[in-house]
Amino acid sequence: MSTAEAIAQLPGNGYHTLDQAALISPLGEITTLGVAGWNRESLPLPPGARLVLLLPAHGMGGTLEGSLVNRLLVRFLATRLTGDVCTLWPTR
Amino acid sequence: MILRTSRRRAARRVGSWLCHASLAPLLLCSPAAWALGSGQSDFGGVGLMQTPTARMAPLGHFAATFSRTAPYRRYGVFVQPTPWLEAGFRYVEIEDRLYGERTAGDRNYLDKGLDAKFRLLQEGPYRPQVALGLRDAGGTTLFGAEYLVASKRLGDFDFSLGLGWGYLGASGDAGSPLGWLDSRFDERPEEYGEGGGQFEISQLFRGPAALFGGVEYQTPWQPLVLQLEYEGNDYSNEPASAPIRRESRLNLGSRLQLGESLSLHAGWQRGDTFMAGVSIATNLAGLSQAKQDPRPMPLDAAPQGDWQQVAQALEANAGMRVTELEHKGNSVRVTAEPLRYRNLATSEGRAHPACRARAGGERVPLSLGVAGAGPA
Repeated sequence: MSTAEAIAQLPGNGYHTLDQAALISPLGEITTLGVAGWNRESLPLPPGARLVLLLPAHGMGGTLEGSLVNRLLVRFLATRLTGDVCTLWPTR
Repeated sequence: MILRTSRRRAARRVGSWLCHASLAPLLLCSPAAWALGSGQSDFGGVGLMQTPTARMAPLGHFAATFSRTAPYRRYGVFVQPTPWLEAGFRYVEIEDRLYGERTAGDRNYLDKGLDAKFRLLQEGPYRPQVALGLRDAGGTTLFGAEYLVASKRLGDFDFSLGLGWGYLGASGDAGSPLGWLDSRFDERPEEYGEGGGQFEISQLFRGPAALFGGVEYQTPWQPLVLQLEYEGNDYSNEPASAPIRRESRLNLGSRLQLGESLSLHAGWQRGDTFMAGVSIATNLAGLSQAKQDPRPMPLDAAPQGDWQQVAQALEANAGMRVTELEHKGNSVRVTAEPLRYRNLATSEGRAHPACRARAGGERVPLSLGVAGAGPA
């Protein structure tokens, strides 16, 4: 599955106003992608990855509060494990 | 809005998030590697075939390109040092013109050119990306051209429209747009600096101009992009020995991306000429040196036999050449020169287990000095 396919499966037409998304890999790496018609990009979506649809820059994302949510939410999620039952391998 | 993909199922299946490490390379590949409007033109630099677009490569992008459209072979190297500037140079080999029999025998003529493209406006939901560029700005300017070009993407199509002067505007169908500013813009001087090799600014944006443009289409098969281009050059003023006919102003082309680095180009230009090209690209910002550092010692490592062995362990594992070890009470003061790690904190972090090992696992405060600068 790719990021573009995942977004296309969202219900309703709300996502048509979006322009960017942040893909957080299972290891916490963040990649920002365009998701609108003028900047569309796509990447493979592995199990355990999280995709944050950012508030659009010409809407809520353009406000101070919206840009804080966009930045801090993504950075916070990147520090979390991908699921409730995930555990770390023992180091030794 | 957050999408969580098959979270529990995935966690159950693989048992640990570290298993995803094998998938991480998928995410490391740049999404721009496959993006529309990122291909190198025949001349080098991001563009269609004969014409440039307003698109820029990702920051740090480096591309080496080769293309052949008879009678020209073009070799270019282009880099993207900032997000708004693309720069490069190119050699054009003219197959039917000799460099000079007395100096180079039967070697083909070679023309060197410098290019630069500046992004003036970034694309938005409604506005296009706009760029201003110079092509073959130095030397003899045999292919010298200036242009202002705009690009706009709509889904799987990337449109561009531009105004070109010089080589890009030889058909002159747009007149001289800057002629109303000053009459000297109506004529483009033909002479260039003595012997070439000089930056030629007297020609810039002078003489007749022409419209050019085109569209790229991202096919459903991701590696393949198709191109249609409308040229502003009428091939009436070419440096080649034999005159070049132009059957059509439309060029057709395709670009096939093979992996992240290699791209093959093919096209049908001027209505009667085949073009083939290849470009190899990498991102200098993503290059890293392969290192085989020893693993850091575990925090509860076995004690070293004596202080000599501690010093050896510090050099082998922490990359620190020890000049002095001072053991006082339950603390150890190490004076050393960091040889391997640029970051002192890395050396210090690796040094701690070695020193603690000598003290039998007790916590030993470590103060670290750099040789020559005196102990900290």
